[in-house]
Amino acid sequence: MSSDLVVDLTNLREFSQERRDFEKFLFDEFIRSSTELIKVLQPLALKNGGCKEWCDNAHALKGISYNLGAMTLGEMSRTAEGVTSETADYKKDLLDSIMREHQQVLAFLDAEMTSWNVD
Amino acid sequence: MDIVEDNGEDMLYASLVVLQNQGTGKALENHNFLQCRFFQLNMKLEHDLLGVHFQSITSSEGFKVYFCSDGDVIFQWIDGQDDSDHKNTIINFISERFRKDIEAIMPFEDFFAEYNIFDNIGALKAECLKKQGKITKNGRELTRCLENDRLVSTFSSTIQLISMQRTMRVKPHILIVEDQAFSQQMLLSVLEPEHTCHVASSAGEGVLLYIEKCPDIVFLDIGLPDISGHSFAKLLKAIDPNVYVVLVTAKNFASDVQTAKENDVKGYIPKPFTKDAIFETLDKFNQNKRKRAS
Repeated sequence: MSSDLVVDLTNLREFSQERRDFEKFLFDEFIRSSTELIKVLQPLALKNGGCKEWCDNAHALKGISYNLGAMTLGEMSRTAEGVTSETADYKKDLLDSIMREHQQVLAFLDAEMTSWNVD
Repeated sequence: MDIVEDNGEDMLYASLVVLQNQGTGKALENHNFLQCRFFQLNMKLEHDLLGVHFQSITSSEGFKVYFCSDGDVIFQWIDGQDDSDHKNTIINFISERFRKDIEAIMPFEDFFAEYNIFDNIGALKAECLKKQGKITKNGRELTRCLENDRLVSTFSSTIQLISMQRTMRVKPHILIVEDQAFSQQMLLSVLEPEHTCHVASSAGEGVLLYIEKCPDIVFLDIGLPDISGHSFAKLLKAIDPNVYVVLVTAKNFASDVQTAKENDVKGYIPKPFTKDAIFETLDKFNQNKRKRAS
């Protein structure tokens, strides 16, 4: 699976067999969960060092990103999960990058779903 | 008719333990239970009503009514020639009195939970324990359960009793313990077409499903909302020495692999998981099963 793409759907399509209703469910679920997880991370980024809640949420974001095929977002979440004694500035920069990448992933999914309607 | 008026769950739990210790097979097959979820209705069934409406079955052998502390009422009877009448009598009575109230909040049939003690004694015991507040879906409570040897041993004896189901299965039954719906659905899309699958979103739900369904394989995430997947794997091992746990997780730190080995975890599928990795896991399980059988 290539990490150059924002989202590489090759593996996910092995599971979905290109059934669009199922893919739509997965995309919607990803959008809902990832947005929620990032919302939880935001206030935690203002504090120095890692904590269980930060790690758990970064870990969950990593899992669903990898499974979707959003490898860059997954790698960034993995870095966030590993935060132990880093400063709040570092965490905030990292979360900003995650949010930018997340926006790209959402735009990709949106474009993908729009293209189905065109087909 | 024997009515246990208060905290019926205590008496029912005790009688289940006694029955379980008395024997297996046919002896247990005859006991039936029907739970009426008055708890959800936020309404109490008046004890006095029962005598009038259940005259026909009050003399039946083993007919008991347990009034639980949360408001639920559980009826028990022993199979006889007229056992189907017992169930119908109870349902008709509830329907006459409460149907409107029930249908205002749930489908009528969801108001009832039926247990045959031979098939799902674990589920009924777990229901009693939940009512007693000894087990909940809350992580802290579950952690306390882990430290409660008596409870672990109760679960263990439940599993021993129902584990014979496994030998009769052609394909393994699977329990997925994963809190993210996204990952649950990906796994189900591969497993469900050919296997019976059960899904839990937390370790608390997982342990209840485990003692009820006695699955053959557990696909387990490490990052659960209540306790860690590692602790859950350890609990399952204590409850059931034959448990077959496969970790499905995005954690791949060396310490996780080490802990997994200590808990006798049989396999490890990293996220993003692939279909091949899942099928290989099933093949490995089937090979092990064949080896054990021969």
